[in-house]
Amino acid sequence: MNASLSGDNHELVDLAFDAMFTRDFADRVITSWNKGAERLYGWSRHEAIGKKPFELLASRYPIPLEQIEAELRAHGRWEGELVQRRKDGSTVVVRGRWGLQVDLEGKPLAILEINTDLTEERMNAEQLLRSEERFGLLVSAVIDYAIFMLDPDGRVITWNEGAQRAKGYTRDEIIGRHFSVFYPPEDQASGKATRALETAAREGRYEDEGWRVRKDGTRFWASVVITALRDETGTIRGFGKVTRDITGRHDEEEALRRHAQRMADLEHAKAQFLDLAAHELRGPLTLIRGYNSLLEEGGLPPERISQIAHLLEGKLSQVDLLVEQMLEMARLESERLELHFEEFDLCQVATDQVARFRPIATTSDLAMAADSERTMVRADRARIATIIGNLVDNAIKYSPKGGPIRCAVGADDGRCFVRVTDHGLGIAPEHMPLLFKRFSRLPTVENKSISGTGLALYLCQEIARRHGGQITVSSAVGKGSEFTLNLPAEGRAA
Amino acid sequence: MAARRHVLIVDDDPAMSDMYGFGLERYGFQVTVLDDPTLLNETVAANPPDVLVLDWDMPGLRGDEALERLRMTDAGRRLPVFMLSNFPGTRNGAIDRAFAAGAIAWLEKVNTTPALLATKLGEAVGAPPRSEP
Repeated sequence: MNASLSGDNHELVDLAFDAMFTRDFADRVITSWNKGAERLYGWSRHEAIGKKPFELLASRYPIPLEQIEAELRAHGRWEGELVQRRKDGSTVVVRGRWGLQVDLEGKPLAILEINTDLTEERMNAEQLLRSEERFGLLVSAVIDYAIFMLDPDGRVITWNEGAQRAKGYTRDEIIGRHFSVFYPPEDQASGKATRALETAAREGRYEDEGWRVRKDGTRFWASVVITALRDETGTIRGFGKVTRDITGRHDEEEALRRHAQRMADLEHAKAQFLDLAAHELRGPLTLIRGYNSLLEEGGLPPERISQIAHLLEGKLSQVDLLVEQMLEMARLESERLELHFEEFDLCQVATDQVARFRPIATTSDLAMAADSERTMVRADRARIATIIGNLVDNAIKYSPKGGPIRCAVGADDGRCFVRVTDHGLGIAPEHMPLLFKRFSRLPTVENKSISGTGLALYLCQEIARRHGGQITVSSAVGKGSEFTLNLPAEGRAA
Repeated sequence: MAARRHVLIVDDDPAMSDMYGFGLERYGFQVTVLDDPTLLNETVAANPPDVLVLDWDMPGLRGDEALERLRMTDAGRRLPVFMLSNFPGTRNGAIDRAFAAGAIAWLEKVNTTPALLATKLGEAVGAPPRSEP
């Protein structure tokens, strides 16, 4: 039997895409050569026939040729990869599937080599490998995102630069540890990490924003996405986790939220203030209208007129004071408050205020302290008088059972002070923060019957501050309060 | 001549009870004033009035609370009660609560002169207002 691919089956063999040729088993020379071989190697049939493949194609075999031939003899076939050279000198990698032709006695005649070009496939594989490497490099170099993988149980199996920066662990420290170490203790206790993986497994992905913990124990606000990674059979192979430290953005949002809350609180307080102001105005208006109607009907006996006029004068002063406070408030809010600095004796102003309030201090013993002395200050005289008046008025109002009220004036270390001390109701420590807040009145039972709008002390403090001074308080419930206004003696450049 | 009708005014602000008390007396009522709402039940029991005028916003006890307690006593069960206050009646459902507690009217102080109060009280308890020369 002829070992060559000849005759009728030539054309058929030429149709094959692969390179196919036969060579004699004994002297190893090529005896047939198809079109596929011409295409792959560039050698024509005439050039190839009669040559030995390892000379013509410089074939390099994965194992010695003798071993391949032994295999063929034993099993009739051999498969393996070999590297060959084309006519143009370029290298080609092929997968060889060789068969052995034998005669009737089983003696080897020829070897049929069918070689498939692997170059492209190999190049694709190499490109893929290289692109995977590049991708790996990319991921490992990313610094703004922690990108890493977890095994199906949640243990860390890859780690990038961003993860190290965000979380503080080096690769060696974290690989193999469960990712729940990134969660704060309260989330660890509640099993949040496990739930996150369950969600990712169930829904494909899990998103969260929340506090995470760095290696050093500090916290950061993280945006987290966990993606389930499944193989083609649908089995979970692990999870991809991308974490970003957005503490900065979170803080900004938080600041905005707080600001909005402050504004809402202020709006609420303002509405409450308007209610309160309306109420404060309606009291005096009620009395003015009521007595006016009696006056109109001639119903007021002359002996009562003086007392009622005095009462109404007091009520009108209340209205006047409230309106003045509202105007001062409006000036403060629109930054139109102008201080008129002049030099004056603080002690004189305080003495005047004490004298002014003595008539309404019916139960208290109101007086200047004995050691008060002439104290020159540069400030807005009218406004300082108002502040002192308010402090004295408060001392009277909040001493319903009376007791001594003292106003002391002095100077110390370039600063002047006016101190008003009473033995009245006193202020609870928890109410201290409310004292100088605008529109806030202390939520005490006594305050229901003591009139006030919650503006006076706020205004006093603001005006003191604009002088470069301040009002401080010390107080004890049931013992009394001590309010101190202090001011720089030289005044402050307006 | 019919006996003078007795009004009890409960208000923590003496300036208010002075004015309304003075006016009501002028219009022929006998007036008692109470500034501490927690003493309402004892006061009514000791000297039962014909009609009660209650402030809303008072320390210790709000108008409707004082009224609810009063309604549980024999002397106070059927007493006609007027709420008289500058507290905004629509806030916190104050008017509704006053009526639920058994008040028969809600009057705003700022719009209620002593003469108007006397007229309203007279309508309720049948004492014709008597104008003094």
